Amino acid sequence: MSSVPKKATEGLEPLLNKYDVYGPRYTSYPTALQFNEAFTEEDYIKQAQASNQHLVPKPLSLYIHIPFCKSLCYYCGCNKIVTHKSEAADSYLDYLFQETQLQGQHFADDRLVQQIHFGGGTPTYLAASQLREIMEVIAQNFHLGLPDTLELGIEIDPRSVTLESLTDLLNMGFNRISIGVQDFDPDVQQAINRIQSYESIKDIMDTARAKNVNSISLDIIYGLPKQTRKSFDDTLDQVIALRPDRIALYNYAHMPQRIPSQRLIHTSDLPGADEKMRIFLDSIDRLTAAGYVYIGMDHFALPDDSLATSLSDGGLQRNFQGYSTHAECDVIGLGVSAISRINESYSQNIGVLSGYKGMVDHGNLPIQKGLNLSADDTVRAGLIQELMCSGLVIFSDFNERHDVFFHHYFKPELVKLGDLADDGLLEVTEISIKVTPKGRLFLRNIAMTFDAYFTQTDLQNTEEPRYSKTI
Amino acid sequence: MANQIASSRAPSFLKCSQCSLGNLCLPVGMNNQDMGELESIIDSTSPYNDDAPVYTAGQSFDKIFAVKSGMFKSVIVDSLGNDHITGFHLPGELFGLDAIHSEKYTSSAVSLGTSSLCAIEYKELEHLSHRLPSLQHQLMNLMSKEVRTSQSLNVDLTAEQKLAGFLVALSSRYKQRGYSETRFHLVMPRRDIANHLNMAPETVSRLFKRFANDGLLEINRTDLTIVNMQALKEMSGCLSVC
Repeated sequence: MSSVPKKATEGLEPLLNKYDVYGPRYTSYPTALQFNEAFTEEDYIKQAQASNQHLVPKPLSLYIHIPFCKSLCYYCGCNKIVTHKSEAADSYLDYLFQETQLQGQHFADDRLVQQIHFGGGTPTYLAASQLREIMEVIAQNFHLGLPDTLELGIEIDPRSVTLESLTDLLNMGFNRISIGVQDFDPDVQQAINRIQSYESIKDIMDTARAKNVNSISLDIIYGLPKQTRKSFDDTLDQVIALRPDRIALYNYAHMPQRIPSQRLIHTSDLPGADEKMRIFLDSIDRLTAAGYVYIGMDHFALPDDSLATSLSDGGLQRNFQGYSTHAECDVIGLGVSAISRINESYSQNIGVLSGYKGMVDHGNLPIQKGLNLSADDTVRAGLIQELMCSGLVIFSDFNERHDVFFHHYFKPELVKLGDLADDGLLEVTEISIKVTPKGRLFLRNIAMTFDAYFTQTDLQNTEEPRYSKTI
Repeated sequence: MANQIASSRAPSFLKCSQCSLGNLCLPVGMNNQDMGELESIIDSTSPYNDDAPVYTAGQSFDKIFAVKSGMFKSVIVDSLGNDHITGFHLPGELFGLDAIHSEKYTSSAVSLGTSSLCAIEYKELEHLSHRLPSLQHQLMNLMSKEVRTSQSLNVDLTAEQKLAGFLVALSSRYKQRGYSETRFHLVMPRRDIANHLNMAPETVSRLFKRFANDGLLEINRTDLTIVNMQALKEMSGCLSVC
C-alpha cells in the first residue's frame, strides 16, 4: 500500500535540457522587441478612440510605474533610479499627475477602471500620503469601478515599509500585495545586496491578512549567486511556512552585458546550469507537494486562489504583470517606461526620466515607441494567449473568433508541433490542441512555435541573446 | 466638398442591370430597355473615405444618391449647433430625397468607413419617371419607406425598445441585401448609434451589455450576433419592421 508518491517533475531532465533555449516570456505578443518609434501619440489616440467605440467597451486597468529605489539590488533588470532624495519623487509625481490628466481625456465616461497596480522600482518608496494623492488624481481623471470590484495592487519592498506605513497603505484599500522576497539565505542576500529578514516579511503578511488583503504573493528567484539546492530548500521551507496565496518563482537571467548592475555579481558565485535546473525542479516538487497549483510560467497559487480557480474555469489572462484573473481590460501604463495595451496596439513610455518630463511638459503623452497590431499579429496573439492560459485551443471556436481556417493558416506550425507532441508536451487531435500538465512547464517553447518574429537565429544566438533562457 | 461629386457618366461596371442591388434600388420592376434609360442618367463618383461629406446642409439640391457599397449617415444640425443623425444608409438605399421640396439639402451626408455611391441628377430622374411608370412607382415606394421610418422614430419609446428596434430593423435590412440577418459588423461608431437613438453613449453600452448578459446578443468589439431574435423583436414592440 505504501507507494511513494511520484514527483511532479520525474523524468523531466532530458526535456529541460532539450528545451532550455533563449526565448520571449510572452507577456505580450508581439513582444516589446517589435515596438518601434514609428508609433506615435496620434496612433495611440486613434486606438483609444476606436476602443471607446466598442459596443461594450472594455474596462480599464492602470499600471503606475514608480521608478525610485533606495538601494540597488544587483540582479534587477527593471527601469529604476537609485536615490535617497525625496524631492525626486515629489517632482516625478507632478509629471505623473499631468500624464494621468492627458490620458484621462482619451477615454469615454463608461470606461470603468477595474484594476490599479503600482509597480517599480519601489512603489513603497513613496509615502502613503503620496500614494493617496495618486489615487485621488486617478479618481479625478477616470471613473473608478465599485470598491468591491476594484482590484488595487502594489509591490512591496519589505525594507521600505514600517508596520505603521503599511497600515496607512492598507487603509487606502489595497487588496492585493506582492512582496519581493527573492531568497532568505543571508549569503545570497549579501551577494544580491538585498538584506531583509523572515520576520519582517511575516509581520507584513500578518498585518495585511488582519486588514483583509485577499491575495498575497511572494516573489522568489532561482539561479541567484551563492544559491545551492540546499540553501534554496531552506528558503522554500520558509516560503511554504508563510503560506502566501500566490508564489512567483522567477528565473534569474544573468545578462551583465545588458544590465550593468549585474556586473556586480561574480559569475563564479552563480549556480551551474545543472544545479540551477535542479533548484528549479526541487522548487516545483516542493511547492506542488505543499498544495500549490502550478499555473504556468513562473506562477503558483493555492487551489482556492482566484488564479487557480480561473485556470480551471478558463478565465485566466496573461499581461505585462504575468498572469491575471481579470476579464480582458485595456491597459494604460503611466510613468516612465510603462507599457500600455489599448485596442489593437501596444505602446511604451520613454524610459529616461528627463525625456519623460520633457514630453509631458509639452503636453504630449510620453510615448516613445509602440506597435499597431496587424491582422496576423491579432490572430497569433489570440492563439498564444489561449495556449498559455487555458492551454486548450478548440479549432472550430478559434476559427469562428478569428475568421481563419486553423489548419490552413497554421499549416507549417502544426507540422512543427509534432516534435513537441512526441515529447508529451501537448496533444493535437482533429478538433483541438491541448497542453499537457508536463507541457505547462514549456509554455514559452510552445508559444515560440507560433511567433512570426522569432527566428532560428534567436535560438542559436547565445553570444548576445535578445531573450532570456526559457527554463 | 461638393467637388467630391465631380462625376462622369456610368461606365459599364455601374450598369443597373449588373448591380446586385437592382432588386432593392430604383430599377425594381423595370424591363431591360427602361433600365438602359435609367443607366444613362446615373453618374459614378469616386469612393468616399471615412468621414468624407457627400453634401452639406444648405447646399443647393441637384442630385439624389444611391449607396453602392459601405454606409452613409445623414446629419442635421440644430440651432444650438448639435448634430442629430437622422439615418444610416445601406447599399441600395437612396438619400437626398428630403431636399426635393426645399431645393436645398436640409441635412449633411457623410461616409462611414470607405463607401461608394451612384449619383442621379434629380431633374433628369423626374423627367424619366414621367415616361417610365415602373420608375415612378418605385420612387414612390422608396419615399413611402422613408416616411414610415421617420414616423417610427417619433413614437415615444424606452431606451431598451429603441435599441432593440434599431437592431431588428438593421437585421432585416441586411437580410434584404443578402447578408446574414443574425451576424453583422456595426460600421457606425457607438456614439453615432447613441446620437441617432437620442441616448447617452454610456446608455448604449450598458444596454448592449445587458442584452448580452440576458442572452439576446453576443458581442465582440463591434461585431454582433443576434442569438434570440424573437426576444429582441418582442422587446422592440415590432414597431419598425416585423
